[in-house]
Amino acid sequence: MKQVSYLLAWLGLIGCILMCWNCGTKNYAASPSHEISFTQPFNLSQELLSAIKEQPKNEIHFQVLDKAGAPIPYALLRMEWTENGGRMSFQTDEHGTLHMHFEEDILAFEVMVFADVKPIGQDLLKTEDYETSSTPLEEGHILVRW
Amino acid sequence: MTAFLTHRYFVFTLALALCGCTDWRNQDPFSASFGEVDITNDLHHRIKAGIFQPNKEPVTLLVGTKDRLNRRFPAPEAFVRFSWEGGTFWVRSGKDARVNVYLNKDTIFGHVSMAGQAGTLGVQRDFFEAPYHPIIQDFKMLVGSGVL
Repeated sequence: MKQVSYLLAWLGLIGCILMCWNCGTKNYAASPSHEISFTQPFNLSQELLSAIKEQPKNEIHFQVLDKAGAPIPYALLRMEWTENGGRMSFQTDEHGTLHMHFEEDILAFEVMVFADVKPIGQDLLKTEDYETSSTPLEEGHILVRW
Repeated sequence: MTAFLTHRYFVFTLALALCGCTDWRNQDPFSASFGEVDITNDLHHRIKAGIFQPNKEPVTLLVGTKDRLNRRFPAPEAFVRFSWEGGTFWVRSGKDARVNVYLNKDTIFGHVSMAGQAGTLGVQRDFFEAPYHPIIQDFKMLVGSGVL
């Protein structure tokens, strides 16, 4: 009986270690304490300077919302580098959310952030150029939390 | 000798040996190029051949992790590093372990490197012809719903 209880205790310990190991591979974000809403495109380096500089490993949540405040599923968060003409548009999830974090070197560049919308169901189809197939967000806003 | 080769034990042993040589662990959605992706090098030949159209088609990344036996699994909600001359930042993959991003030509040729967290995570380009590619899934959905 004593041996069985020892065995169970060891199994429990191994189980706990495996659970902790598994948890360690995921990224659990701390609950956001700051929130800004942008109705116009904004300059990332200026507006999020403190968020990036003070805590560069902090997750920043971007959420694209319509004028009623409802999330726009699979909206696109567009980042444009004014110096070198670079452009990246990331597809958000079904809640219109994208999770990012930035390293300090990005503060040396002027990066403008926009939101775009594509027709639902055709968001990944290669039918037309990005500029013609997507429309800039109008009357909505980008909610930024960190 | 001929009798031995046609013997059923020989055939059985040969079948076992062939099964042993097959690397079943590679029967996953990841190709051999699992790791860091330089998007310019990765897409150069596809753009030249006309099978990737920058500004129309998104770059779809499949993010994965591997265990000690080198078995690879999709990694949902894991961060991918984007690094180029415009700075460095990290983007979290979705529940399907993918990051979809549209890049213009300046960025496509800007040697953007994309990588997972060191040691455990890797990324690869998820190409259009793969049956599990989200573009194909969208297409199937549109056909099924009668839009196309």
